Amino acid sequence: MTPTLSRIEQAKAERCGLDLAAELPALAAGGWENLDEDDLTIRLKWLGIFFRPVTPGRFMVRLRLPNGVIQADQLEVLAEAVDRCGSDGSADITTRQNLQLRGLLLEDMAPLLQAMEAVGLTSRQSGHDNPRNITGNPLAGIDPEEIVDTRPLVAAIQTRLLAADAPRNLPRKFNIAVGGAPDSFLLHNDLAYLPALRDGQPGFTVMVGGFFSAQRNALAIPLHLWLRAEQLPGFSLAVLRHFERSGNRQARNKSRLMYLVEALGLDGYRDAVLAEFSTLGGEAFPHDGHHLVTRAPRSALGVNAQSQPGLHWVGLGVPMGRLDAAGMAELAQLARRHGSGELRLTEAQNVLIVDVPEAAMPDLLAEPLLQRFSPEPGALMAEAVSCTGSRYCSFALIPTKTTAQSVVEELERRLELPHPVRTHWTGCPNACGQPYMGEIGLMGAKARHEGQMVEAAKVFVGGDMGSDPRLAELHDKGVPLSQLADALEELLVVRFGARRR
Amino acid sequence: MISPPAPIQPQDGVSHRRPARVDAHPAAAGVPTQPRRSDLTVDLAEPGSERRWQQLQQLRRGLVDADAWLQALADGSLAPEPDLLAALIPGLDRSRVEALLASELAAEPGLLVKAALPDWPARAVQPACREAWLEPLLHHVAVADSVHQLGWLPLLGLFREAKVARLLRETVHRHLTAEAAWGLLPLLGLQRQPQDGALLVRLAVEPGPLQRRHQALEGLALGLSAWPQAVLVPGLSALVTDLDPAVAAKAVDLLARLPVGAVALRQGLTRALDPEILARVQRRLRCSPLVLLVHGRHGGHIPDELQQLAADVAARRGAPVLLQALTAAQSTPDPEVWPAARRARALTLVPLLLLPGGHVRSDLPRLASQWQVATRAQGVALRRRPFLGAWPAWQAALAQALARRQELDQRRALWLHHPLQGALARRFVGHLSAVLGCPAVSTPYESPLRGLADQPLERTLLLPLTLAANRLSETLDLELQSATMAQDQPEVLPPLLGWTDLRRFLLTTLVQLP
Repeated sequence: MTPTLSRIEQAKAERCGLDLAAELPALAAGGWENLDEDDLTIRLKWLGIFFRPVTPGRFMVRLRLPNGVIQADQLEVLAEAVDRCGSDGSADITTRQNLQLRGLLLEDMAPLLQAMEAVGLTSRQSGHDNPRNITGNPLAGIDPEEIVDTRPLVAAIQTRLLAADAPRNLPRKFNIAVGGAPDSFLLHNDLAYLPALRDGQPGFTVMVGGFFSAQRNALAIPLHLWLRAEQLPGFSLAVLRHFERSGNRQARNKSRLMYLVEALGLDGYRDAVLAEFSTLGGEAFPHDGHHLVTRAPRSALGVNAQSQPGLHWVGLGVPMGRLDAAGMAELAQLARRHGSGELRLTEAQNVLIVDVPEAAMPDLLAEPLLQRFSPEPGALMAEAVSCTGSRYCSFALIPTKTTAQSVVEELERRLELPHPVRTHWTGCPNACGQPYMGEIGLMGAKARHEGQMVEAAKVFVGGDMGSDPRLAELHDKGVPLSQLADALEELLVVRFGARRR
Repeated sequence: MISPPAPIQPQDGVSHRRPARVDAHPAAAGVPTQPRRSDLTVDLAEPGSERRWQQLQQLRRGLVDADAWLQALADGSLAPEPDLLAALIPGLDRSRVEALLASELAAEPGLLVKAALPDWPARAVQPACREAWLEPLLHHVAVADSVHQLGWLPLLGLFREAKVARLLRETVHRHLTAEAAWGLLPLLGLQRQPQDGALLVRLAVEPGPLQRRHQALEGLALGLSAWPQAVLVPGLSALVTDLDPAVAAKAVDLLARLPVGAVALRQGLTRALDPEILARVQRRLRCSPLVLLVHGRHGGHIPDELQQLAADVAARRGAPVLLQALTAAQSTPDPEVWPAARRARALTLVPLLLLPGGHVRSDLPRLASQWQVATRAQGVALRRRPFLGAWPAWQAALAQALARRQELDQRRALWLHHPLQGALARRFVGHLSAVLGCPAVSTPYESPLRGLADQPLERTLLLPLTLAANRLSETLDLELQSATMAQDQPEVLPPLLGWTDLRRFLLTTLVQLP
């Protein structure tokens, strides 16, 4: 007997959200409250448009920025869109090297999508049950330590997965990443390609099943397959087609890829994917799963020599990844004025200006914007990653970004740290801020304090993205936010070698 | 018809006194996938615990029966904590909503409204939530006193419904000075009833508490496409010059979203605006760079008046303005011209030439095709305007200014031009003479008075038709100074950019070009 489809599955089956694109002007004229509920909360996400219950009438748009690469002209278009929203507008750099714009009216969508298309940007299939923005080495093509340039690979995978014959109705969201350097930590993705050798030949070993959620957190495991670079798009398509057909559509909390891998067994899953791949004419090779990723990600901040002689990238710390229109426009100007006009976004929610000649460096470093987005932020601010928080997300139990920023600033006033410490802040157990990846992870919670329910944070410690990766474990089940700086101060002194000023 | 709310009754087997326990689902066990009856007792886990979060998620998703929880709240065995209420409220059906609204928990709106509000916008668009809540809540609010009404309306106002809109409208009218009512203005906007546009515009524009004006403006934003343009555009245009920068900025951004808003914003460019607001208007309009083709002097020199005009136009438009003299080789555009043209997707060519002489007939097409090639290479459109002298608005402005001057001085006027070739030019001169109401005289640059030999010059105003000083106007001045004439010597009028009205006309027109 065919199981009854859930409401979400019914909505997806009835109509593809991409079909709404042509109707956007009419939908805007009618007002968002007149939208069919499934269109509003589900299907619009196929266009990258998100209804936000916390800001009714003010929508979010999530882009697709393959490998986190964006050009100045493109950033200016997005800055303009945010600027139109006045004090309601902002943009967040996400943990998938992406941007999401907030504060937009439904009326803004049709012209924005048109303006984005004109400069080569898309927000297509960036939300809900789709292959999300594909990440790669943020230093691809400029990295002195580069193993392989991930940009063309990421672009080719995206092109293949957004083609007309690719799946548009996955059982759940799907994260893909391509590693290109010794510090490409990607095991939190459903499908990760890590650079690896086979018989001395460069290629990629395939890792599957990584994800974080409220119920379970898992790092990706080796599928024991090896691919040549040009096989990645086809193999990705095969994985998605199999997932589309075989993934769990009955229980959304058990529908990420790892559950399918477990249901079929690793060998069974591999055989099924290989069979799918062979229908596309592909053939993968056995592999022991060893790869060339050997250490935790670099911060990429500050002035760094590129692989091209005489050129540098300058990594700027964006506090909690939050941008405003003026900051975006100014970043675009700086990239054009001092570099090649290209910028990169990192998974640590920071931004890089690339291709800066040696001679242009003093002028760039003297730019006023670098007072806000410092190339040398404090040891905590540099590595602080945060989810959106309760300002925009109804799941979040605390205002994550503002809390993180104020606590980090306070700790940097109090402490000297011998090295950067990566803190990951998330507002709820859904773990969008990846708290289990942080050396210190913080998760929004409620706790009783002096007889009152107050906003609090659970503290996790020990996440490691190095050669022996592991997830952070619970250290404290609920520190009231008012005491969080004190608790973290103690933790940093005892566990991370911090010295009080 | 609204059914009388039923009191919350214990369900079968539910004991009021039994300590509550609830099926807890540890993280490892995952969340159950099928709805089921609860275990008839509730045992909400400690605040902040993973288990509590999961319990509430189950409740929120309708995976457990709400009755036991409602009962526990009703009998007081469970405290009405906000996170519990927030999870419980959206999934209730109509009979449970009616029961809840009839219970002590709903005696005052504060607790339930605070708990429900964060999720309410997403829930209120769901048919099931609307079916469950709209009528019972309308009934509940209708019989509440005015203070409690105000408290419930943030929930009720998110249902788009004519009856709700009327209630919001009446409440806003009744409590115009009450701070608590100002938050209803965005909700009134969400209702998108065209008749409310005027009220929202009025409250945004008229002097009053700033917070109320902001809320009215947000109401206009949220219902933007619903308001009559005849009310909305003048209101927003007025707000562009508001003393509060946030109000002015938002008005600019809203105007920019309207089909006719660009026209209003371009008019704004010529008003006295706060510099930040002017910059915002410029960003919204993305004016194209202008190339002003001018006559120029010897060696391509461009008179100061024209340079100042170009600078003023550029400052107002927020886009580069390039002056190109006919007498000079094609200039290299300012490095800012092409990026600005790409942003505007166009570059606009405006010949500031007054007569259809050889320059307009021969040089202009040649220069325009050079710009056509350059713009095509840059991937932007070339917008061409007719030569200035042909603009009916310019001719009218010139005629008006000249008539005013003739009336003031009680003198007749002659307008002077250099000799022109061809039938087209002759027809144009005849047309312009008719528009200006005074005759034209063709006269050579090197000796203007020679061309005027046949004219009676007493009590005459001589108008050399030129924007800035040129050989004709300068030579005429010199010749008149050296000529010995009787009294009532003719007066030479200054070049046209020296006339306040005409300069203002030109500045305004150029600033407002797309």
